[in-house]
Amino acid sequence: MSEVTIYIDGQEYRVPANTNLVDVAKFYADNDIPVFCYHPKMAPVGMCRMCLVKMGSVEKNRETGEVVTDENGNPKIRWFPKLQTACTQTVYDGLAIITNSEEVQVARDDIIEFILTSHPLDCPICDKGGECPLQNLTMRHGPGQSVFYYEDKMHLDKHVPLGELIYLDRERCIQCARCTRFCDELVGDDVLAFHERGRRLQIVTISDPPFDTKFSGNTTDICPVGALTTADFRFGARPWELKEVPSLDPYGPEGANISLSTRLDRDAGGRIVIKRVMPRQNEYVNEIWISDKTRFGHHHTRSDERLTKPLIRQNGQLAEASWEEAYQVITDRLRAAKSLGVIAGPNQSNEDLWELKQLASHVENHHLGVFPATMSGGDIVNTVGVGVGTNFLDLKKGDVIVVVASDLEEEAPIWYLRTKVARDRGVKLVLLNARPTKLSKYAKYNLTYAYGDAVSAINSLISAVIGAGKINDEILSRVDGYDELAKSVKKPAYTNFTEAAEAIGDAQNMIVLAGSEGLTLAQQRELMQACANLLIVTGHVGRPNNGLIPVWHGANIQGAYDLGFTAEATEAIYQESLDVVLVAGCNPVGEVVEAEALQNANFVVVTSLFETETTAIADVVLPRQSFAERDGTFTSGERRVQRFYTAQGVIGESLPDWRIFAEIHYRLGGPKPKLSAGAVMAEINKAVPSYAEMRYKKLAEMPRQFPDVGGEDLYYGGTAYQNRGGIGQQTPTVAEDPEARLSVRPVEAMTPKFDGLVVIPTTLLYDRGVLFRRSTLMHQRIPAPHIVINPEDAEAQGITDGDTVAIVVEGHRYEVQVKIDKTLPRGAVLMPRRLSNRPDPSVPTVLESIEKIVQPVPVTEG
Amino acid sequence: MGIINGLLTTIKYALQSPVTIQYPEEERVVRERYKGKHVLRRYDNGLERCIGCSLCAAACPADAIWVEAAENTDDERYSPGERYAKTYEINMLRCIFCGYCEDACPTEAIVLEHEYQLSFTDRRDAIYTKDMLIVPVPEGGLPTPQKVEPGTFDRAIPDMEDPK
Amino acid sequence: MGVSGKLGNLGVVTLRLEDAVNWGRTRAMWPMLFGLACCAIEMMSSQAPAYDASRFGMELMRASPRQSDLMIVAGRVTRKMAPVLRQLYDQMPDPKWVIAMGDCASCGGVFNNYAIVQGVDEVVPVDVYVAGCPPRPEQLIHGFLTLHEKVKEMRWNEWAQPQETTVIES
Repeated sequence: MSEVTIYIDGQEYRVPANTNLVDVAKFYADNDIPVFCYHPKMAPVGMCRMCLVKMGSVEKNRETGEVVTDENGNPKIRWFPKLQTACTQTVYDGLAIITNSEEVQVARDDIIEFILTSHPLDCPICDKGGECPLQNLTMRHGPGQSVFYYEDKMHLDKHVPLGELIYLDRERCIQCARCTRFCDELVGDDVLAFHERGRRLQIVTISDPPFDTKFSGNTTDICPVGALTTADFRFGARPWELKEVPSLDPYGPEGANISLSTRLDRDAGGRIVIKRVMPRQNEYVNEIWISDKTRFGHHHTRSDERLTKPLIRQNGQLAEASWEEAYQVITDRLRAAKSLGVIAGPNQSNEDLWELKQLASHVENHHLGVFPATMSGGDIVNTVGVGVGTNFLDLKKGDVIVVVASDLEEEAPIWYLRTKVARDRGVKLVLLNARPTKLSKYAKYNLTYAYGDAVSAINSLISAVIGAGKINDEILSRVDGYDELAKSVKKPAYTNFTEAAEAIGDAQNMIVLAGSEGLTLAQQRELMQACANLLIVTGHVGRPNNGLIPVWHGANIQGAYDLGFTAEATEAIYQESLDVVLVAGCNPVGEVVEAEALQNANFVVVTSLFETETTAIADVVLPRQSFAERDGTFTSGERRVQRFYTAQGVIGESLPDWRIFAEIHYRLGGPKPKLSAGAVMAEINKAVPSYAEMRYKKLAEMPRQFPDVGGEDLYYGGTAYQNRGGIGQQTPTVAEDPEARLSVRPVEAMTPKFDGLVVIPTTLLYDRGVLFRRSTLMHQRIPAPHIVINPEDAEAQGITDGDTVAIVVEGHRYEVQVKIDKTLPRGAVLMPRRLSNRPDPSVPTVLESIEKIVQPVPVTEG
Repeated sequence: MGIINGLLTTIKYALQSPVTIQYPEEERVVRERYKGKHVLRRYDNGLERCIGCSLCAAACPADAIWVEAAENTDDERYSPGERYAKTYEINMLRCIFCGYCEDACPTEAIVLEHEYQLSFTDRRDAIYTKDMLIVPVPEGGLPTPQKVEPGTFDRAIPDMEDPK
Repeated sequence: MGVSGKLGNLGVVTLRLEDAVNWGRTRAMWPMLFGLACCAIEMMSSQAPAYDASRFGMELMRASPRQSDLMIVAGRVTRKMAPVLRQLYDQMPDPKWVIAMGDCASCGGVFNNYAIVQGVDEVVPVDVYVAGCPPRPEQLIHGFLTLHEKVKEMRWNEWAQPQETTVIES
């Protein structure tokens, strides 16, 4: 990156070119230029005038270009006549600013006084009080006494709900427009707007349901005053009383960095509980954003329904027992086990998985499965995954992001946001899907295929790339099987992909996000291979900002694949009737119909946070700890291994999963259980080559990040932004080794032909999963069980929008509501997972029957 | 001569009435600014002054105060404004009676009064809860929570000393 | 007062042995003469004429633990001092009582740090805690009275308290 010389308060600094002056002054000169409306993640608007500085340019000799110096040898500066806003200034060579002169101080004092004219004296009860930029800047620049009349203060509404999650205090709003700009410009959800003008100006929500975005909580973080507060945290504690613990999102594959604000709580029996969830800055992963699911979905950690003691089935009933008794029953049974199936849940940490694998190895005939078993190809990701050092922020104009078979907003909201923002910077978005999603309107190329046909779509893309002559010749020398691949894609199923193929061929960097919508597990694996083929032949592997990102349905599925767990094994466990099944931290029986087969197992052990449909068939239920009570590591879809730390007190007698498995293994003759998760990781470091460098100490390394968003400064507050837990490390991919051979393999499109309507399971962000449904605050956002259907199909079936219908899929009957969507292709019926209390089909399945339920007309008496 | 002086002093004091204060029967009047046990005050209409801002807890050098706040509604109103103290506890054995909480309080809710007879046979008895600290409802006032007209008590820090 | 009845002019008082013994104990409780910090100044003051602890039979502050019944822990106890304190307590003859005078002795007070014992009940069994920093003499006397009430409530089977055998090495 090229550098320029700027002068701040007479001091010379070398800083990167094309960066914002405010960011640079803070990062390189430790000079906090106060701002309200400016935010490093958004385009400047220069509305609040708080950042006024004296600005000028170094005089240069016009002929030689040399800097003109005065008699002392200092550069001569031509100052601009008036103060300028620093936030709207990009640094250039010879820029000089003065931030500490009296003129600047007076200007800042005046702006603060002006902003305070109608700001209420609410600090004692305001949730922002203590981490409020306005409060801090008032301490620094406030007048102490106002020249305005106190009676002239505007009194406005103080408790305006913007939806059920966010409250607006109109009095406190200083009209910086950060929230509206965040929603409009960054997320692309046009849900907040300004209404009226002048002193009457106010924020209103213009969507129905109100504030309808999956990122609404972030507006409360970036609000520089206490105007926006969350319903979850409202008056929960004062910021200085909270202890921040670095942690990770337990739901999504993005590995979003969060900070758990914890405090002792009388209502929770004097335990330390999570009061709120704040984002933690990690420029590689989630910058400073988190989805509302991450932010408001933490209540399962302290639910009253948590299991507290081991349960053993006696006479058909689960009865409380001690850990020793439970271990005894399990070890006795495992010693005689003929076969063992292990299903690891989506938020089993790497340490849990490792100990689980050690335990499973005790039984010779064992399967290591992962849940949900929707996606495959973890090994492919380890070959052609995104290079170490990948950052969506580094993608530039002309680069390409390909999203295939995924509704990114619902499945991985952080990736959705970063993809959308990258597109705004000029990155070309290629979207392959069977139906339009929310990302479609931002895509440069919307390539549609028939449901189940994703592999042919990618093959067609490869064909078009070959046809356009955009194959990367350099890489072909280390690629095996190219000729067969080229031959196999001779006849593309889709012929209109040429423009997209050219964009891919011309792109310097390309990231492919591959999902699983509408695909069976086998098809999905083929899709991953097809994506790998595309990436390899175009040379987009083995480098940062290039490669494959799988949209896993869980926080640590990648880690599970790295340690030898697969979705194929899960299918095998469903199909074979095994002697013993161990389900770790998930609820297959309650979520997928195939898992009903687990009832046939002779002995089922489940570790769980709650009583679920799976614990109902278990012989032994062991209480596990949630992510907040223990430490460990997750591996994100970008293969970034990151640590989370112990935040709250233990519930009951629950133990971390790794400890449970290690104890059982010990009683079966294994080694003594390790004392800490870190010690387990040390063992993984030795045993798994790609994790050799993932030592706890290294994962906790915390380099300085630009722009500097966190900290105890006056910048824009929110101590929780500060990252003290480390930014993690990515595991290396095979392709990054320049000596490694890469192989491409022709993949056959295995498009099954269905007659009639096909139920396509989809994933929604807000569902009634075991963990998320404990957050009662979010219940309004979780849709009722429903299907989405094309209007023509609906008409043919005689149903209309809003009807309640009974559908039968594979012999299972579901009562669902009908939603009509005319953008949906004919023949497909979307059925979101985990909305009802019944297990759902996990793969596309023929709809056997659909029948309208006639609601009895309510008869009013009298 | 010296011995006579000394004897005179003795006689002088022997003739004076004893200085002993017959505590507990007789209690010495403490100074006006003496800092004893705290009370939480109310407005004249019975609403609690405390808004649960926790600034007293922040100011407390001994970490003796514990506050948990909750939100008022017009149906169940404890204090003016949006916020009130759901839990308010002072550990009298931790408190050093410095009065910083008084200084920090934005609504003059907490005041250190003159009561000082505080000894306990159990440490747990020393934690005074909100019920033990709050003063009785004044004459003409109503006990909290009150049901009030919407919009009457919008602001946490009332403009008037004693709002109607 | 434990006197439960008087019979005319017989000059005889009958009362339970328990009450008589308890009454006797409350009437001559000799505190140990030692202080640890600022509270000790107030403890001295409570002995001075203005408050005159001898009204409660407590005027004799014994410098030897062998001759004392009551330990007033007046001030903050450092970790270094804790074994000494315990040794003094162990040297006192039964029956013996302990008053934790002031915040520091009761729970560490403002000194929430590694050097200070967070409440002397970590080291010796405390009968009465007196709040205040430091407590004024009246507060200490209130503590005495609270202790007297506690002693009067004692039953005979509580008299012989099992001696704690914990030995803290200094």
